[in-house]
Order: sequence, then C-alpha cells, then structure tokens
Amino acid sequence: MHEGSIPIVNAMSDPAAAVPVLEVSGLRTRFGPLRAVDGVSFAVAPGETLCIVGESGSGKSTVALSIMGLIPPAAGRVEAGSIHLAGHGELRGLADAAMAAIRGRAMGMIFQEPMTSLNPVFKVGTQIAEVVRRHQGMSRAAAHDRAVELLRLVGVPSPQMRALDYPHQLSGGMRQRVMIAMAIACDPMLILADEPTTALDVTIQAQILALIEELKQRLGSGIVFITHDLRVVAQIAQTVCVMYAGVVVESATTRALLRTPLHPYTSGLMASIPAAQPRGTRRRLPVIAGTVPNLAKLPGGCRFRSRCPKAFDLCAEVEPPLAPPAKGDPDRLVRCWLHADGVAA
Amino acid sequence: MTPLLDVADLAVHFPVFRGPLRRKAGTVRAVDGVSLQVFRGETLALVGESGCGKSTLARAVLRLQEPSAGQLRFEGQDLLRLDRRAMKAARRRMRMVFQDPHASLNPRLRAGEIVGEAFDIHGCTRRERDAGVAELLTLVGLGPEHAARFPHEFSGGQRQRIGIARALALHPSLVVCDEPVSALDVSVQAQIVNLLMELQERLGLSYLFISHDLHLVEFIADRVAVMYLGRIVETAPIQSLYAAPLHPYTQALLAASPSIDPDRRHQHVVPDGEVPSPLSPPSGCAFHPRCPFAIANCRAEMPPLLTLAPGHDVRCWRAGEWAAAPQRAAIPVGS
Ligand SMILES: Nc1ncnc2c1ncn2[C@@H]1O[C@H](COP(=O)(O)OP(=O)(O)OP(=O)(O)O)[C@@H](O)[C@H]1O
Ligand SMILES: Nc1ncnc2c1ncn2[C@@H]1O[C@H](COP(=O)(O)OP(=O)(O)OP(=O)(O)O)[C@@H](O)[C@H]1O
Ligand code: SF4
Ligand code: SF4
Ligand SMILES: [Mg+2]
Ligand SMILES: [Mg+2]
Repeated sequence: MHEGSIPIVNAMSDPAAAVPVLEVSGLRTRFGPLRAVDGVSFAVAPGETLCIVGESGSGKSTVALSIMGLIPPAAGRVEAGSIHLAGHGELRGLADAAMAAIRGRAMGMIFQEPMTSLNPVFKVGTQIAEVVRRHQGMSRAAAHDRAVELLRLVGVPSPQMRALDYPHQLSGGMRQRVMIAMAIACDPMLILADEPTTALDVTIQAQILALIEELKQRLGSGIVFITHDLRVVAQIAQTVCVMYAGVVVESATTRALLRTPLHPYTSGLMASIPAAQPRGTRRRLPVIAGTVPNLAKLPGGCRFRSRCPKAFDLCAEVEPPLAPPAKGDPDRLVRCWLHADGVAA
Repeated sequence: MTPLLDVADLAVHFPVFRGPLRRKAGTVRAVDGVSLQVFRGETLALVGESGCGKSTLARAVLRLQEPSAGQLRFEGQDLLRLDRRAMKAARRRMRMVFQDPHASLNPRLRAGEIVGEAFDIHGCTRRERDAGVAELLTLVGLGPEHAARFPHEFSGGQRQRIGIARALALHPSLVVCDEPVSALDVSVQAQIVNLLMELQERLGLSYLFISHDLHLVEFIADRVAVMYLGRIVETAPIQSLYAAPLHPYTQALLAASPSIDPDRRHQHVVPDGEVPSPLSPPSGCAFHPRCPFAIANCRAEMPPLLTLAPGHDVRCWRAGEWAAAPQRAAIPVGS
C-alpha cells in the first residue's frame, strides 16, 4: 500500500523469542452452567499475528471478551486462569475503572458486528474523536482532526465528509474501517480483532488485512485475530489455535497446520473449503456432519467425538490432553488420541 | 431462450441529505443502468466491492426497493407495471435468502410460523400450511418437530436453513441469495452450499447468488456478473472468467482472493487507491483512478459493455487488446 512511509519499529526476526505482549493461561469462562471457555492458553509476541479459528460457539469471542474484561457480569464470569499484558501485569481481577483505562489505550478491539458496536445516533467522526478525547485528553477540535486523519489512514474515501455520516449511511466495509480507526486511535500494543473481515469482499478484505499488517508493523503490536476463514489464516497468521467446544484442539505454526493438519476437526475444515471442481456433475463439498455439542451438558471423552469419522473406544471414555504429537514436530500441540504417545498405531 | 429474469437498464438512486437543514447534498447512484439475465435452472453469481450496489440490486429485483428507472421482466411479466396485489402474487415465485440469519428471522415467531408465513399471506388453509411447513423443514434437513421452536433455539446454520425453507415456500422459480453463507462457519457453509445445490437440482431453481467469496462462486455458479460502483463491468461463464478475466477490476478481484497456501501471500495485489465515493463517481470509466492500464480516453468517456466472446461482456476500453492476446494472463495490479 504505502511502502516506505512507515517507520518500522519492530524489526524482530523471530517473534517467538520475544517477551509476549499477551499471555493467557488456563482461562476458564462460564455463562451459568455453560462452560464457554474451558481451559485455554496461548501467548502472542510483539509483531506476531495469532489466529484463533473454530466453529461458531466454540468460545472464540468469549476468549477475546475475557481478555478485555468485557464479560457482562450478569451473564457470566472468568472463573480461572491468568491474563498477563506486558507492562500492565495481571489483568484478571482489575477494577472496572483500571480495566477501562487499559482498554482502548493499550488494547484495541475490532468487533464482529460493527453495527452493534457503533452507536447509531452519533456521527462516526464524533465516535472516533470521543475515543481519542477519553484516552489522550485532546481538545474537541484536535480530536475531530485526528478522527478525520484516522479515517483517511484506514482508507475511507472523502474522510472529511464521511466523518459527518451516521453508521447506517455507510456500507459494511466502511463501517468496519471505522471500527478499525477506533481500535487503533491510541496506538495499542495489542489488537484483538474478532472476525473483522468476515462480511467483506476480497479487495476490501485484502486491503484491511494489509492495513492491519501495516499497523502491526508500525506499532509493533501483537494481534489476536479471530476468523473462521482458513484462507485468511494462510494470509496473515504466524501461529494458529483451532478451538472446538471451549478448548484448543490444535495449535501450530500456520504452515505446519495448513500443510499437515493433525486433528480430525482441522482436516475436516480444510476439506470443506470450496475450490474449483469439474462442471455438470453432482458437485458437493465434503462436510463435517452434525453440529457442536451442547456446552452445558458436555459428554465425557473427546468433545469432537460425535462428529469425528475416526473416533474409537478410548475417545468416549477419556478426554485427550493437548500435547505434542507422538510423532513429528514437538513445537505443535494436538488434542486427539490418534496422536497421543503409545495409544494408537 | 427467454430468460427467467430479464433486468434492463435498472437504476436505483438515493437522495442524500446532509447538515442541520437536511439539504439535499447529492444522489447516490447505487444501481446505475444494470442489465442482466438469469436463465432457468442456472446460478448467476453477482460479485463486487462492498457498497457497489449488490444488495440494492437484489432488493430492486423483488421490488422491495422501488427502482428509479429501467425494466424488470420475470417469467414474461413486466414487474414494474404490476400493482401491489399483483406484485405480491409475483413474489410467490421470486424469493430472497438474506445474509444474516440472526437479523432476518423474527425472534418472536416460531420456526413453523416463519416458514409458513407465505402460505398465510397467499390465503392457504391451515392444513395446507402445516403440511407445507413440515415438508419444507424436512427438505432443508430439519424436521417437523422443529416447527414449534423459536429462532434463538437454533444454531446459525439451522437458522439459515429456516431462512431457506421460508424462501422455498410455494415453489419459487427464482431465489435471490444475498450472501447466504457469509455469516456461517466453514463446516456449516459447506452443508448449506450442498443443500442449495441439491435443491436446485431437485426443484429446477434459478439462483441470483450474491457472494464475496470468489472460490465459492467458482464452485457454485454457472455465470458471473461483476459489479463496480453501480454498474456491471464484466459478465462471463465461470470458466472464461476465472481462466481469462478481461476487466482489470475482475483481475484485481481474482488476485486479491486469498490463497490457502501460506507461501503464496499476496504482496502487491491490493488495488491501489481509494474506493470512489458513489456520491461523486469518477468521470469516464469509474475504475480509472485505480486502474494500472488507464489511458486518456478512460478518464473522458465511459466504456460501453461490449461482447468480446460468446457470453462474455466487458466494459473496458482496452479489453479488446487482452481478448486478442489471451496468453497475457498474469497482470500485475497495484504498484
Ligand atoms: N452473554 C452470554 N450469555 C450466555 N451465553 C453466552 C453469552 N455469550 C456467549 N455465550 C455462549 O458461549 C458460547 C461461546 O460463545 P462465543 O460467542 O464465544 O463463540 P464464538 O466462537 O465467538 O462463535 P462465533 O463464531 O459464532 O462468533 C456459546 O455457546 C454462546 O452461546
Ligand atoms: N437507503 C439508503 N439511502 C442512501 N444510500 C443508500 C441506501 N441504501 C444503500 N445506500 C448506498 O447505496 C450503495 C450501495 O449499497 P448496497 O448495500 O447495495 O451495497 P452492497 O454491494 O450490497 O455492499 P455490501 O457488500 O457492503 O453489502 C452504498 O453506497 C450505500 O451506502
Ligand atoms: S480423540 Fe478420538 S474422537 Fe477425538 S478427534 Fe481424536 S480420534 Fe476423533
Ligand atoms: S476502461 Fe480504462 S480505466 Fe477502465 S478498466 Fe479499462 S483500461 Fe482501466
Ligand atoms: Mg464470535
Ligand atoms: Mg450487501
């Protein structure tokens, strides 16, 4: 996009070696009886993009909301685990006011549905300016100018004019850019993006992915990027966590995961991606049959068992641990008995 | 062969008001002279940038949004001459599936009532309705026992199945699908895509299929219409479009379409420049500010939609050069 214009502050060649921006371990969040996130751990280095992929309802957004301290207290709570943000220490248990100060300033969030996160009765420029004013104490006029500049930065055409629009006057892609402008308004060290490109078409998606990548390079931020599109993962992620029914079932570097998926759920996902096929014939996509189990009454054993084409006796009895595969790369993790030491052939 | 749906020079313009006095600031030409045909039993995909007017076009085809100009023929009828009552009857045969299965189903109605709505509107008996609902729910892979449930008791994929069942009530011939799987999981997308293809084969349906997933379009559609800023810029059968796209915007779309191969990350394929505002579209060819091949004439005059190969129409002054030299395949887009 605008090569040369970006001072690259983060020139680290090996993000994994750096001190993580964010470290989540043993995170458990429940909504009443429903264990939405049931023991999730991962770390994100500065300049690293970690993608979380997985079925709808697997707990991806809950992970993001737990990190941001945005689980509505009336609905649920973070029960266990630790959330460590570099420079700010443990976030779990911080008072609301302290959390609100960190949110928006140190962490930016781009939500799944811009329409539900933008206020319909305020102009988009005003909403962006408000974030700037709240966290950086700028004057109203300076904040408005900054809002216009941010809109330009995220590629909104005629930003002066668009700043005066209400959210419903913008198309989906434009609203998502407004969300991104708000998320990056204070140069956050961590960006949590929850399906930011899901509703967009490819050139805009490519631009927004490039934009996020550019902002990441410029700010040296770590990014947690939630998506259900493995092609997007292939484009942007260094590492991937695959979630299913509240737990991580596989994690690896992007290349390893896409080249040789180990978990049957990951393989199923890869297979169901549409690709060109000969015409005329009864074309069908391979599917993962069935649906996600009810998280409030999970059966024992492997959570994927009811949909797994490879399930065997042990799978019904004991839940497999997330562990390095018996054979192969010790740096990756998989939660499946097929890959456990000394269990299957 | 006469097309099932024949759209000619269709336009939808929105007045835009701004400022404290709500003065008219201009007109958004959301759809600006679109012509396309959908033939029986085929899937025509409509692709294009966010805000280029796909949903507006889809809504205008069903007259859920009144067109500003143009002609609409469906099953031989001139839709724009129909009064409300006759239009309601025509809508039995042309239905819509929406992108967001959360927003498009009334949360206070049970699945049976949602699917059965069309039967009520068109004055069917209770018995016909219940039988129809049971049949439709079964057709989309749910069961009659789901009729008593409310939308929130279903998963996203199941809700989209209900949206499809609703659209199939009373045997439509055309179903307009506005991004029907974009909001769904990959595994559920595959289930719904298979369902749509199976229903098409069994019921002889035609689809106008709006999508931003070019890989999915390649899988599901017979022909593609590419839209840019309210106009069609290229129409072609799937094979020609993917093998030899002739419009620079189509080439950019294909180049920007992400690959599943992590070693093929796109570096310089993002079309440069800003998406033009539909409030003040560029002169001449609307793509010229982003087009790496623009020549002087492109700024001055809008190119016409020309047929360059059988079934392959392109709106570009220079497409003829590329149609004549098909080996010139990989065109670098951007800087
Ligand atoms: N506020 C809430 N109250 C009760 N249950 C909730 C709430 N928010 C989420 N859940 C439940 O927690 C589980 C995980 O939801 P979550 O939104 O994290 O999933 P997700 O992976 O983000 O799904 P999607 O891909 O659909 O966005 C789901 O079963 C969901 O119904
Ligand atoms: N009621 C309206 N009043 C004014 N402008 C509108 C209205 N509805 C749509 N528009 C404008 O018309 C243009 C086309 O919008 P439309 O929703 O049809 O685009 P789209 O191609 O479906 O985009 P997306 O891919 O984001 O869904 C946009 O510029 C939009 O802002
Ligand atoms: S543990 Fe068993 S059921 Fe679970 S994914 Fe592995 S093979 Fe399938
Ligand atoms: S008419 Fe000119 S500007 Fe438009 S697409 Fe063709 S070459 Fe590019
Ligand atoms: Mg979510
Ligand atoms: Mg739309």
